[in-house]
Parts: sequence; structure tokens; C-alpha cells
Amino acid sequence: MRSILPIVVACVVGCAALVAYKVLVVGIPLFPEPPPDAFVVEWQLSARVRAPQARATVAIPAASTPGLVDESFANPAASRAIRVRPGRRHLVLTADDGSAALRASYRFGLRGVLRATAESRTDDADLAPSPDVPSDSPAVIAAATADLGTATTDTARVRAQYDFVLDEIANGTPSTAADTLAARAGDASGRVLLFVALLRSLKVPARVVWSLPVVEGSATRLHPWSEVFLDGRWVAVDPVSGRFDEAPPHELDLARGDAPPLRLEGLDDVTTRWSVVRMSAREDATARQLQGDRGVFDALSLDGLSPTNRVSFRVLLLIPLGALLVSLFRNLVGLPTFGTFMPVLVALALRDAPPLAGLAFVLLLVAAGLATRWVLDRLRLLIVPRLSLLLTALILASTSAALLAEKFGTGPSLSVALLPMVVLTMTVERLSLMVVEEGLPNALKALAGTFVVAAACVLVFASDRLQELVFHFPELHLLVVAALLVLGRYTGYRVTEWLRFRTLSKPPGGT
Amino acid sequence: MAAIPDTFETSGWHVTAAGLRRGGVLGMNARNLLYIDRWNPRDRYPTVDDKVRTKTLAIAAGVPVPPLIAVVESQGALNGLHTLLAGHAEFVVKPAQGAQGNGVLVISGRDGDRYVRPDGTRLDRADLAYHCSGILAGLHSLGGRLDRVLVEERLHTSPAFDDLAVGGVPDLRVIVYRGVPAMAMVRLPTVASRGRANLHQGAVAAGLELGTGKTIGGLLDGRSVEKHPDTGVVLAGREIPRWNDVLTLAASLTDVFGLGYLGIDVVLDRDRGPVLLEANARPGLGIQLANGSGLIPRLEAIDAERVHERPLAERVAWSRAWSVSKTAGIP
Repeated sequence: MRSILPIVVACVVGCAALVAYKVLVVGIPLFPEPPPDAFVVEWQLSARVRAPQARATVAIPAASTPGLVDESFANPAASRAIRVRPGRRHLVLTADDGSAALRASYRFGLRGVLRATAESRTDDADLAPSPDVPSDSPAVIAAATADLGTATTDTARVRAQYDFVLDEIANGTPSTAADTLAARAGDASGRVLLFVALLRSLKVPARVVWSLPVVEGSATRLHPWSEVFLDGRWVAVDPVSGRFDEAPPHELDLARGDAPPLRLEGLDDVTTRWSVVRMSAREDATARQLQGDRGVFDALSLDGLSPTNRVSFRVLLLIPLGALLVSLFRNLVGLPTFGTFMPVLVALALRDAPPLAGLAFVLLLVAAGLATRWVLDRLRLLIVPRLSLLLTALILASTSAALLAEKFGTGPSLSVALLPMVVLTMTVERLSLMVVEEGLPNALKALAGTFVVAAACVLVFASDRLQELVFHFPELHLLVVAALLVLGRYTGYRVTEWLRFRTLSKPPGGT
Repeated sequence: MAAIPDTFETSGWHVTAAGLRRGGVLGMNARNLLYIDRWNPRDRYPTVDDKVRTKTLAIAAGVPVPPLIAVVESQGALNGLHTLLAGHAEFVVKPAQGAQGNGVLVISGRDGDRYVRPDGTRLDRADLAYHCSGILAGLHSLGGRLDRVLVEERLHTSPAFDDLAVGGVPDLRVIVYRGVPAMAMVRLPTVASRGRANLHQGAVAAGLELGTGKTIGGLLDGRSVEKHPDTGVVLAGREIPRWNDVLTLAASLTDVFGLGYLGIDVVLDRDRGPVLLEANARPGLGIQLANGSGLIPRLEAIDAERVHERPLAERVAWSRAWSVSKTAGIP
């Protein structure tokens, strides 16, 4: 047999070299430090062009925003311009002539989420009516004065409007300020615009603020609220979520003004989203070290992936570790499992769920499957339709379980959709055959073995630290390769064989 | 040695890999990498995995096999199954690509239109067709592949086993390494195993000393036993008739199948003598427990003394002599 030693050594040395380079030369910390308050934010747009000169205008953070770093833009087949006004900036994207689609993205890093103190003066715009803020409409004026009651001070008057919008306008569909008032219902933006209109009609300066909640997620929604000028200063008021004189925490202000943060002209089928990913200590260090030009380094690290892809790859990169665990349990320990990689698939599906609950759920599904199969067996059906019926039953069972769980508010949702239903069906089938052909004890042993391995994989996949480590040092997989090569040539005994063959064991010195 | 040594003086749970190595035990990893991977070319697997091919090759080589009644290849052909079996009161239905006795159905008689199993239960036509349908769809085949149904004549035990085998035919398993018999055991059906010689299902195994063809005590569910669980007969010290013929038949198959590490299942039929039941390219390791002895010393001796280069009769003689010398305590 050809020796695997050279490959194994090459893998280990290669891995050590790459890790050493990153840690010693580039300065990426090997061990996790507490994550800084640093984030990578990305905005993406995708739309179909309907008319020439199609354009999208989006509010972006001011250049002077504290902590804003590493801005980058991507706009193939479109031109971009940045319009700067005092206290606000807009990115204007214009589709090139002849393009059928407009696709663009904008990305930046944010170190620390600080809000610049608002200046203590107002201007005309804060009092004047505008298309989006109809403070001069009779309906608005009537509503504003109707709610005044005994209010005499400005603060009391503001409070009255605040109570009105908070208590008497319900949540509804996207609408303008006027429609929101008429229907007594509207979305967050409609309600905030109405609030500002009511205040302006009472000659209280007020303005709309749009901010981005800086929280990890891939479909973050902008948050509209308002600032009201009272007693010589701007006071944050949110008549939708109910905050008076309390700025929303941990949000990045994007725009102040009546115009919506995103304006589209000549575009259809628009999808747009903001995604936020927390920067790890390592990414932060890397970014600091390699301001700007990263060159070769990008090839060695996965930081270059967009935030949305990053989340998927974080977990994907753990799969080889799962496979290593399966190999260890099979060839070193000797645990029997159903299907070589079923434990890995199950663990993947359960990674966001609490480990015990998730595994218990799978166990319940298997039990349900066995019961169904027992019933189906009595019906005397051909095997493939029978298996399909079993698969259908399993899916219905897990749907019902998920519905029940939501209804009773039990626990976080499991990514049940990702559960490998097909694999589970085959497992149930093989399990029942095994019971018949090899007896219940052996079948239960195999089931137990599968769950032990799955549990080990779940623990590995759930570890954030491990995810982080592997994500920033993907060369660690070379170690996994080396380990698998060594395991592949392991001819020693499995732990279960110590038990099985114990009667054949000989003490030192012969019989 | 009449009984399998129960435990050597190991302190119970302090068994380690070192102890197993001293005992010459062949483990799964070693078996797979050093013997099966090395001596069983993958392209030869179908010769033993598919019983129809096994039979064809065996017949061509002049090796006795249970007579074939029919091969059913399609669901449609099941309609004519009953007619096909009209002239046979007893037969055995098995998947062509099954393993470990899975999917085997033994019919020992008729009751009007119904089929009778050795334990007395009755099956009607639909039940039999359903079982065959499952076989065809790959329910019992290795890897779940579509399969064929094999119907063979039922074999009858040599009377030598009457008090040892209950409800079925015992079979002899011989591990043949590079054409040399390395280890053997006999598997005896019991009531629990429903007439099948399947150790997973509750059959009793007894190691066989290669030199004399005598049993060395019993193994049931992984634990050693002295007597047959149903008949109460002592298991050790029984001699297998026509032992040299059995070993010779087994040893000849390496050339027939082109596989160097084989588990051969032979049945001693009352009328026909030793008959090849099936061959296995991945034979299990439990045979070591049945014999109370590890396989490695034998396999290494075969390699060291280049026994595989000798003619058939000499190979068989060598393995019998080697075994006798071991039993006599010569290291």
C-alpha cells in the first residue's frame, strides 16, 4: 500500500504555516476576544427597468457618521452619484441605457453605534407642510385641535397627539399620512408621518427620522420615528412603538426629512434589503491591519463573502468536522448508525434549535414513522408507493407538531423544513426491517448509535466559537484531511470490539 | 478441548486492545483494509452477491448446489407463481441478492391451497406473492437494489444433525483465505430462529476444529452455552460427516469466484452430501467467538508458508494438520 505519511505531513505543515502566517504576520487573534461593537452592513437592490433613465435614490449614512469605515459600492450596468446635503447623503443609481435590470449593492463597516447629537436649532422645513406631511390639510388640523382637550403647554399638546396616534391609530397596510388618518390605521411610516403632520399643524417643529436597527439579520427593516423640538431641544418620540424622549437604542440614523429613504423611478419588481452581520474580533483586526487593499489575503480568508453568504458558509464549513466525527465513531468506537451521514444531516437541521429538544423531536418523528409503517404494512402495498406514503405521513406529522408548538408557544422554532425528511423516511424503513430481521435489541442499538453521533454533531455545529475559528482559519480543514487519512488506514480494534471479543483476550505471558 | 474457554484470567473489564492482539483477534478495521480490500476485487463481488450468478458459476465448475426451481424477475410474473410451484410441496424462496438470510422463506408443505411453514403457520397465495413482491422491489437486497426471486428445492438435514437442528437445516460456514480453509463453524437452527441458521435470529453456533471436524462447544447470542437451547443436547464433541469433502468444496471456490477472502456456506444434504448454499465476500467475525480463537495466527501462517500455492488437496491437508498442532498446544 502506498504510504500516506507524505500527504499527512504536507497537510499538517501546510495548515500550521497558513495559521502561523495569519496569526503572526497579519495579526489575527487565534483565540476569540469579546466581539467588538462592530458590524458589516449591506444594502442590496434588484429591479426591472420599465422606463429609460430609471433611477433609485437611497438614503445612506452621512460621511461624518462616527465609526463608518470601508465603504464600497457595486453597480454594474448603472451609474452612481452621491448627493450630499447638510446632515444627509443619498446614493443615486441610474440604470445605463439599454439595461433591462438595475442591480446594485452598497456595503460599509460600522465600529460602534453612536448617534450624533442633534443640533439645537430648527429650520423652515420642520414647520412647513410637504407632500408627505400634509400639516395644512383640514382633516389633519381638525384632528390635531380636536385632541387638545385641556392641553396648554407645548409638551402637553405634543403628548396629546402622541397618545392619539399611539392609542387610536391601529397597525395597517402601507399608506400615506392622510389615508392613515382617514382609515384610523396605517403602517409605521404612515403613522409617524401623520404624527409629524399633526404637530406641524399646531406649529410645533417636528421631523421624521429613518434609522437602521444595527442587529444581526439579513432582512432588517428601517425604523421610522420622529424628533420634536420642545423646550429648546430635539426630543425623540416614537408614536408607533411608544417611546417618548427616548431615542431608539443601537440604531444608525440614515435620513432626517420628509422624503422617504428610498425613492424609485421607472422601476418594477423591486426587491431591496438591508443586512447586518456582526464583525468578529478577528475581522475587525484584519480590517484594521489591511486598510483598503487586501490583495492576496482575500484568497486566504472568507471575509470577502457578502454578509448573506457568510451565514451559510459558517455552517457549511463545519460539515467536514461532522464527517470526521462520524468516521471517528464508526472506526474508532464502533458505533453502528443508520446511513453513514444521516447524523450530520440531522445535526445540520437542528443547529438553531436547543439540542435536546431538537433530538427529542426527531426521535418522536421516528416513533411516529414506525407506527405509520406498522399500519401501512397491514395494507399490503407495493414498496415504492408505501415509502412515499410514509414520507407524506412524516411531513404531515412534523407540520402538525410545528403548528402545535407555535400555538402553545413552546420553544423556538426548529428549522423543520430543513429536516432531511427523505432520509428520515429511509431510516424508519430500515429501522423496521432491522427489527424484523435482526431483532429489536440490535435495531435499538443502531438507533442509539445514530443518536449519539447526531448529538455529538449537534454540539459541534452549535458552537459559535468553533464556527468562528473555522471560518477565519479555513486551513484548519487540512488537519481534518490529515485526520481522515490516518483514520482511513487505521487497522486497530474498535472500542466495541474490546467488549465483543473480551473472551478471546489473552493476558501478557500467554495462557 | 471440549468446551470454549470461558474467560482467560483477564480481570473482567480490563480488556484492552493489547489483550486482543495477543489473542490474535481479527477486528473489523483490519479485516476490511488488510484482507477484504486486498484480496476481494470489487468487480468480483457480483459473483457471490447475486445467488443466481453464484449458482451458474458453481454448476459450471462442477460444484453441487441446491436444485433451482424457478427464477422470478418481474412483478408481472408473480401472477403465474402458484402454477410454477404446482409440483412442489416444499421449497425455499430467497432474494438473489440478499444477505444474512434476510428475506428467506421456507415452505415445508401444503394445506390445500395454502403454503405451510416449518413452524406450522399458513400462508395463502397473496401472502407469498406479497413476500416475493417485496424481494423484487429490493426490500431485502444489499443496497436496496431491484432484485430477483430465487426458488430452490428444500434441502434435508443429514440425520447426523437430527438432535442438534430444530425446524431447519444447519449450515457449515468456512472462512477460506486464498484457497485455504482458515476457520469453520456450524450454525444450528432453533425454535427461536424459526428454522433459520441465522445467528442474529437466535440460532446456535458451534466452532469446528478443522483437523477432526468436531464441534467445540456452543455460542448463543454472544455468550457461550453447553447445550442446545431446545433439545438440551450437549453441543461439543460432535463430528461432522464427510468433513474432508466439505473443506475441499469450500477451498475450491476461491478459483471459481476469484475472491481471496470468502465465507462459504455449505449444507450437508441427506441425499446429495455437501452442497454449496451461498458465498459471502464480507464474512462476519463472530466465527472467532464460536471457536474461542482469533483468526490472525491462521491467516498469517497461510501467508508465511505460502499455502495458497499448493494444489487443492494439499491445502486442505495443511489446514487440518495445522489445526491439530494448535490444539495439541504446540505454539
